[in-house]
Amino acid sequence: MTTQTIEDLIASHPFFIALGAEFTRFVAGCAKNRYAEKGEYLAHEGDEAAALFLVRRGKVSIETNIPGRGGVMVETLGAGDMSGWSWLFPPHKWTFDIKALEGTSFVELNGKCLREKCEGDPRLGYEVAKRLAGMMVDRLRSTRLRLLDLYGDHSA
Amino acid sequence: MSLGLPINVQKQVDPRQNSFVPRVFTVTGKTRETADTVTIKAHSGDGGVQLEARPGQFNMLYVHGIGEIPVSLSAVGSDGSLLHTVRRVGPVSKALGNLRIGESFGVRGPYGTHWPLESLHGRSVIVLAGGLGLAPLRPAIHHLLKFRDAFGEVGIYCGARSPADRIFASEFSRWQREKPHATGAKSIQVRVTVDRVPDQAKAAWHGEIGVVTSLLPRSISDPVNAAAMICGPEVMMRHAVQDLLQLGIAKEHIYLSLERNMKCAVGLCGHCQLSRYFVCRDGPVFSFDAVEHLLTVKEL
Repeated sequence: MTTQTIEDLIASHPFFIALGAEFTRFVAGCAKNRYAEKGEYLAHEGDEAAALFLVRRGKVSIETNIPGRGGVMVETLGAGDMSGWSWLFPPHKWTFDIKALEGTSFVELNGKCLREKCEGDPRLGYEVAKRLAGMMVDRLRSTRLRLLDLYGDHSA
Repeated sequence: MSLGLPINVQKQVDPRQNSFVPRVFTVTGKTRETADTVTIKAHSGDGGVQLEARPGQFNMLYVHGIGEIPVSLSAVGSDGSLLHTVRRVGPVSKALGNLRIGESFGVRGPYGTHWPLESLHGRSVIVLAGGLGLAPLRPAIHHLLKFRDAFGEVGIYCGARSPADRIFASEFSRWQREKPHATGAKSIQVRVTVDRVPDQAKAAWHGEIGVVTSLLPRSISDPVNAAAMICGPEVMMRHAVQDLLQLGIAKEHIYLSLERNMKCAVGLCGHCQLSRYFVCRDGPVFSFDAVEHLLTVKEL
């Protein structure tokens, strides 16, 4: 059995697929391999947003706490998904909670480190920004479709 | 070798050779799927020949004194029974849903085009269903299960409004368990997502939350030899098609079931006209390349 390096894990994740060896090595300097137990929070709303998460296995939820209702799940993400872009945008605070719904393996990229590398190398910065923008477009489209309540009874 | 069909059906019926008089069927079973959706099992009450239907076709169901609506077959029983899954949204569907065992209703059909299952043999197949759109796909899924080895990888992806709004939920695990006989072939992947989870249901829900297209794989191994069958709200299907094209599946191998205001069901009245097509006769199942230019025309 061969052991995968952190660079391998990043390079094989859909978010960073075809990033190129040079950038992958560069980004890997900000990364560590992590595991979260079921129920463990990866991020708390309002805390400093200091990470980008590449989910490798397992499942996390994006959720928010509503008084009287507890944690309300907005979306679930699984293997191959990424989560966390608030590290790129001021004020660098999480806007939702991220919680592991089952044992979850992921690569955590330090947001401050990645931000500095993106600002130091505009080619990398543009590449990461494009990928983030693409992800946001997907999530926005999904949210809009759900807002339409397509499966509801609209016959009345 | 002929693989046959999972349901009693070997040929297309030309509906124009039939009368407009419905045949009488008797309700022999009812399954409550959700709070507003029921599956009605019915047998022919006139002793005539069994209706011959292909997966994806629909019947016109007539409730005496109320009216007639098109409803896709959600299965055909081995005993010749017909199963229709109906959501109570209008006078006729409410009346159908209220029928009791032993009561009768009228059936004309089957009508329309079907999922081209035989021509998909050898291909990997993606089945994408939203809400009640799973009903017309269920006979196709039964075919995929029965002839599992005739297909490559199979993925079934279903979206629903909430956990309580899933139809045929009790069958999902059976579909997932179905193993191919061929060595090395993969099991069917079944994934389900919901738009929202009510507070009282969140402890019991362990599936996904999100739009159904988010369940699609990010890549497939051999897109040239893959095909997809989609049924659900048309907006969902338009977006799903874009994702399937991104995966590399050809337009002519993406099939969708359209819904329009079908009345006569035989291409005469024009209520379901979609440009040069009558959905009742030329559809409801179309390949995407045939209707691509029509799906974003607001007047249609």
